[in-house]
Amino acid sequence: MTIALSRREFLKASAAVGGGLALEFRFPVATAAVAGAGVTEVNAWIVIHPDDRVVIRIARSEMGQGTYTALAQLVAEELDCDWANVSAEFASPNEHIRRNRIWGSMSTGGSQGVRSSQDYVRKAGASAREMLVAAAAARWKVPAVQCAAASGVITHGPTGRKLRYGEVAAAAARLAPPKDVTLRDPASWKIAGKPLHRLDIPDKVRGKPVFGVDVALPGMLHASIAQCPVFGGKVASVDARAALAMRGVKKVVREETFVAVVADSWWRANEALKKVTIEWDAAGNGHADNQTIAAMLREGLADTKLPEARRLGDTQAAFAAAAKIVEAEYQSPYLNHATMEPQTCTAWLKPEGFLEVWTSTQNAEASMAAAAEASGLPLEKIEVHKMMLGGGFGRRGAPQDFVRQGVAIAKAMPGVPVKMMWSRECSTTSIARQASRG
Amino acid sequence: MLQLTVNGRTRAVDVEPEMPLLWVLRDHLNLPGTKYACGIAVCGACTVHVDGEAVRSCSLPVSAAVGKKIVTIEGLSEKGLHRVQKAWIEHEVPQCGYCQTGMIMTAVALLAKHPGPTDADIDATMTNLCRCGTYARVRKAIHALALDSAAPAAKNA
Repeated sequence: MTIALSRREFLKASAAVGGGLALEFRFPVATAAVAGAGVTEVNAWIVIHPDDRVVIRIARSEMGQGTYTALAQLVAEELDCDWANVSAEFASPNEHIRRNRIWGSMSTGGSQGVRSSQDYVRKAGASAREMLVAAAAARWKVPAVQCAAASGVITHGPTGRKLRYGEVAAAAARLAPPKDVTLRDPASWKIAGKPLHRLDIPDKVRGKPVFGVDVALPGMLHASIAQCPVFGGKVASVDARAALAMRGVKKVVREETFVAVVADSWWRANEALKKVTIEWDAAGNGHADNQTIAAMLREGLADTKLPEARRLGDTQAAFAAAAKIVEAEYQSPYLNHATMEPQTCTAWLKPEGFLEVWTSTQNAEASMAAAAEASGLPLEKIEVHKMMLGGGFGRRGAPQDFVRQGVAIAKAMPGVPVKMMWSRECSTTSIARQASRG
Repeated sequence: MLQLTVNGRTRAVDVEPEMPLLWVLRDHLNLPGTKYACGIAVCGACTVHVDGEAVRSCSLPVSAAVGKKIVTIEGLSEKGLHRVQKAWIEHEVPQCGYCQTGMIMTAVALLAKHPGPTDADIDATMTNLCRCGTYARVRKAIHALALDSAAPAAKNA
């Protein structure tokens, strides 16, 4: 398996930057290279080290809902390994594309992460367990039915011989996976469904750099952006002369719908952004507010020509026959999702034509698509490193505006990694692309 | 150049005196555990200790921290985890975790002043915002820590 940017490359790049930069090397673990060093991918979901450590790949995102741990529990349950040896890592979206979407959906929302993937991740665990048992049986030259696996150890019943998963993982990986597997009865579960400690919490209480905003790369610059606070608005004019004269400012990037200041620290970028004079073209929507939007929706409700989405029963007859009619009206205004971690995207358009993106996303495949659209590169030339999310609430799923913005900035700064982060003011006034939901 | 004492080390930084301490920590000193969220000292995600006091670093000019002892989440405990961090793991306090380093720094400062805080003490001090709504577990973990520190005295009594 090819990882777009190995740790070795990173360290080399870091050393090359050297002296002047106060930043130390900091690269959050998102997708780890597992090739070589006796480490075996038994299947796409499960990596086993010779010392029995098990790394379980997680395709969905983690934003506090615990899916990162819950999915690992489901895999580990069927694999029947020792939970104390289990860690998790995000599956690589680039590899996902190259391996024909081997990890299924990467979308994380609507409380679907566990329920819509629990069946196939359990099968991945069960399949790997059977392959490990088969490998042990082959080594002992005994029928596999005489062998059983429990807590990461395979035992040959008649003789009591034992082999650990780490000892047979490499041999197991060379076997064909079983055509079908039987999943365990949830009544017998030891790991899944149990209140275990979450895998991501220790790093989070230590303040380890696990979130999108924590990414730091050698030579990285920072960007803060302004975007039109009106639906459909565009940049009409920009005067960036004062900002360009400020300390640390490297560039002001004007795009169709936003303006970015790129500087050597985020605060400097954001201070300079305040000095950029921007005129917006509100595209005729400048007077839209909750009242006008509600009126538009009400107009829609009254429109009898609209296509019918769903009909349940005969409401008119039911009202006509009702003893009492209770009427109430409910409205929901446009609300800000208000994730604690502002939207962020670090993008690096590398000289060889490969784009690396680090972001807090609820849907890595949508991030890949947005990065492809914004860069013009094919998906094979893009990697999205999935970071932990400081809240999601749907904001980081379908709308991938932050990825398009990050990539557009990277295109304006070729060869230089740039971390774009919205200020709170930008986050709170940029509801234009947010859904009306609570 | 400004001289800062951060987590027991002296660090020299070439920054504007008005740059908030938060950005000096995050972008110039490679200490990203302290978080930006509101930028106006309302949410507490950026909480650090300055001379033992919980301070919202997004609104403190770095010049005001010169000559003082700054402690961030990374320097909270010299060896292993601080007992508040351990309690946070034990009681599974964080959800997304983004606000929790600030929450922990605030809790450490609270417990230093009030080893056995009442709910009212907690409400008055733990004003950090959490979008996931972990407040009930924050309270539970703090009370558990208060009980732990009260236990030896109770035994002696």
